[in-house]
Amino acid sequence: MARRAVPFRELEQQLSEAQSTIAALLSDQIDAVYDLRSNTPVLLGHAQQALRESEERAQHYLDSATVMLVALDTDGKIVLVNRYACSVLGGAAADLIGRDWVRACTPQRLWDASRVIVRDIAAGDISVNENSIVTATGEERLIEWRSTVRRDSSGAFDGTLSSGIDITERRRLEARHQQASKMEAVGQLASGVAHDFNNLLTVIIGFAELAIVDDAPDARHVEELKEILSAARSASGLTRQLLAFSRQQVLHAAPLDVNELIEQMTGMLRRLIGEHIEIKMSLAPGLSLAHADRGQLEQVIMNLVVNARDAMPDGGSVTITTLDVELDERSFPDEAVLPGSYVMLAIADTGTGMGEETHRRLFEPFFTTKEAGKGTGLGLSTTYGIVKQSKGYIGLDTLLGKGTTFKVYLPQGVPSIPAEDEAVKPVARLGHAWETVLLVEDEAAVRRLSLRILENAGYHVLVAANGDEAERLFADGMKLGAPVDLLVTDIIMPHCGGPELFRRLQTKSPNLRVLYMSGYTNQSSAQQAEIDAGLPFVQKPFTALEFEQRVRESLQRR
Amino acid sequence: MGRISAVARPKQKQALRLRLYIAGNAPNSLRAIENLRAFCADKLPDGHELEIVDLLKDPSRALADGIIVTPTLLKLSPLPAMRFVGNLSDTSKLELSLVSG
Repeated sequence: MARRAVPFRELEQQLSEAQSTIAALLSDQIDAVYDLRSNTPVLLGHAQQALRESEERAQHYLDSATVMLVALDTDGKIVLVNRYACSVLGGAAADLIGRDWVRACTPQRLWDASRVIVRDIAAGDISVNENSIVTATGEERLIEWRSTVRRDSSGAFDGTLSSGIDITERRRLEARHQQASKMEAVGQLASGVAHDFNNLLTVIIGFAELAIVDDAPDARHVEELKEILSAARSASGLTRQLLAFSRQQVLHAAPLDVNELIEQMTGMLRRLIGEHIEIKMSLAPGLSLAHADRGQLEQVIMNLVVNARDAMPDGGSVTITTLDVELDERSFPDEAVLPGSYVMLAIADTGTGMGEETHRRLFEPFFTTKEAGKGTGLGLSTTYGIVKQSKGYIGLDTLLGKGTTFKVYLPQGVPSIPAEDEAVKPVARLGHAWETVLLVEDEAAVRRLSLRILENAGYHVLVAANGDEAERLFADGMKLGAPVDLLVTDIIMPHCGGPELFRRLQTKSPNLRVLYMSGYTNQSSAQQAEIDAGLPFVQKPFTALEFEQRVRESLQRR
Repeated sequence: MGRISAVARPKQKQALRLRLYIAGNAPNSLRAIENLRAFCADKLPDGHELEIVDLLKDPSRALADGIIVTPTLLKLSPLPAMRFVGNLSDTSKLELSLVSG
């Protein structure tokens, strides 16, 4: 093939172009050269800038991530740490890079374990793990890590990359939740035991009282019977506390002047805490009324004051403060708060304060720091139960060696119009009764006792063990022209509860009156509402006289 | 788009046809566009045809047209074809080749 002759002019031009290309290259006037074999542009200066920009962007992404990002090299030394990780660790990236991760950032006691973890991540054996880190201030944080192995372009192991989330708070909340569940479970157990126990105590107390009355002329066993009564009443005090803790006792919440209550209790509180402790009051004038059960709040104040006393064996002072406050959803970090107006009651001591373990288990039933025989471990759990059942909140500030302040928040109450309440009129002497009472109780022993008390008082008593039987007896009474005047019924029974039974019977006889008995209040809110509405109620265990009085009061209601 | 040879076909009435090869928004490429537009507005009032080819978007045209660096300006017509490499900041060469040439 003949070689093409290149005209001199063309050669001259090509040479000139080549010279100008070289000149342009040398004067930095070009952006890219092209690899003509692979047909790809190879960017020059611009490329470096773009690379820089891309690196900056990547760093920006790393820094704006709210997870910890840590890359280690093959020796476990830090090669990358993002801003968030720096903020958690409390150090600058420049100080951390190049350091051994395990030694620099994990607690010394975990060094060996941490090394094993780093090795396992590098080997690809684990990708998710939890491990503690230690911050610059020495604080430990628990981190959940997700890790991958980094490889270079040839596929060789080049280190690890881990992203971590600080789960310290989450774990703490979970632990609190578990604690709350545990309290709930113990509460249920306690209430179940207390319920059955109350029935037994009702029978013991009731029959002991009857025996005392029966044996009155012959006083041989009276002293022994009184001992039985006294022991049974103490036991009944314990079950009441258990029920309070499990929030299953009946509360009679009403608008309550907390300042007045405290003032009335002052004398008693002074005797309770002794002379070596001073009581100071800081009661807010014009304090709003709280919606609470007076008796139960007394119990709360007493428990907290006794607790304060026991924290100050060498004397000190207890300050009782009241204040109107507003709470919002975030007032308690661990609890959803119903926002609104509350009455705060604070009881502060200058005592020993408490450590974290005590603080954590404080409201647990049977947890006590007092020596054996000095406390039941029920005081604060009772307090907790009462406050929770009153739809209130309890919080505390404590510092070991500096004292403790308990703050109880009770919902504010609306002042009620004082009503003529027949039910509270004392019945001084009980005349001989003649009315017909329908007694419905599923517990045989309580049924026998109640029957005995009612018959002793002279009532004509129809006895049923359940709702169906009661309805039959009631209908028979109507037919025979001996209608039932009063229904005395347990609140909780299988199949048909007391309130339901009352409603059914009331449709047949609108003048029928009712007296409820119960050992605890595991009833629905509707049933609770009826009790709150002031329908007659007698709490087990009851004494014979108390029961008889309640029956009489119920019959006198119109 | 057809294959374009570095040497344009001869035409009877040959208008000034230019093609500028650039690399995206790279600084010298942007400068070249700016310099060329200013030059054209100032020195080529009778009109011209300009095609700008971004080789980052269409790298195959580098191969087709034998472009080895960007920015490069090709004068396609009238003949002889010429190429100018660089950001075209030196307009004296352009003037010599395009206006008087």
